Amino acid sequence: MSTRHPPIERIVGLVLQFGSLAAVFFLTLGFVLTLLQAEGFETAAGDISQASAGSLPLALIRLGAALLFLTPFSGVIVAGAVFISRGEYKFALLVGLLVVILVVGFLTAY
Amino acid sequence: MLAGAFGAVLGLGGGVLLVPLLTLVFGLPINEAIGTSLVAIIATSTGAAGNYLRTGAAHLRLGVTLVLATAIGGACGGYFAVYFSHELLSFLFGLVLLYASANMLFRRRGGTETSVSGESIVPAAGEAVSSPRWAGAVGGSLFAGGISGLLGVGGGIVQVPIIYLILKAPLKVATATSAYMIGITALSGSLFYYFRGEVDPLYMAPTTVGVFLGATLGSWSAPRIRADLIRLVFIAVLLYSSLQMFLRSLEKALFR
Repeated sequence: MSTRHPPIERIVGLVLQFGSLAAVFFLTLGFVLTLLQAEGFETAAGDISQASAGSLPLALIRLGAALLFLTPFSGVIVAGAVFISRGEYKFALLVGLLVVILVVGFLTAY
Repeated sequence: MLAGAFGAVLGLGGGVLLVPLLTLVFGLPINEAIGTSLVAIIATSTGAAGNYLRTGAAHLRLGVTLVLATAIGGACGGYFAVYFSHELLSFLFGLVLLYASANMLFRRRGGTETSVSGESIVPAAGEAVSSPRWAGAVGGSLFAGGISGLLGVGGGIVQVPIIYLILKAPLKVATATSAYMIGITALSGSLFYYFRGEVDPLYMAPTTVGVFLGATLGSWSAPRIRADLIRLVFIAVLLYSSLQMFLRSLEKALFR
């Protein structure tokens, strides 16, 4: 393991943690707005339910879900890029095959 | 939250608790419970795996080697799940849990070291994958992925014994590496349920958030828990979940 570069594991770990936090944030926001919309919550500044009217809460939940799907995928991409930069081509090839499988799976499902 | 914490500690995705919870308590059809569970499992995995990777508990190269098979299996499971009846899915779920618990209970223990040294459990350059242990590990990973996509578990109930018993890795490395693999495996299967409309956002969102919070707490506490305790809890949860799903499938068959 090189002493000049952070370990691959640490880089991938940061990607996973950041992505999952962002996804959970939007899921939480979307669900909270859904509850507020259902309750018809009002504030002194006005009807906050207007801000959550329509498809905004659902859109936020779907955005969170999309980020959740993209997070492990991004981790795979980052791992592959770092493997290539470190000259670990066998593992980079494995990662490349994995990317192909996930993309084919997405296209088949969609 | 409890499902997430438990899943993070044991290297599972929490699906062994989530699917029975969503079907038995909230009354979701099992196909929707499976889809919701798979999406939530991604959160469990990423919440825990990020921490495990940063602390060096998970073996990334081992995970990348095996996750190819689990991803293929997961995609196949998710794609073909629509052809299985709900009763059959419940019964299969119970069978898998029963097998996994028996496997952990009666097999002898694997490695005893607390860390992975270098590339000792990853094939050296040029080593044939057809060696018996690796063939078993890859085949088992393919099966684990199929189970994941079909039944909404993360695959860890099969994957952890594979890494622990077949590849002789320490249990904590097995659970941590499995936690990393689970996210990718669940992703490959969940895509099919999501785009088939079998994931209700209003169930998925709170379930996923709760699981994520639980997983974060679980990954923090895992290094502080003894491996023996992890194993015993793992077995107990599997047996309990298995019984519940058998009863569920029989109940549907008897009262048709």
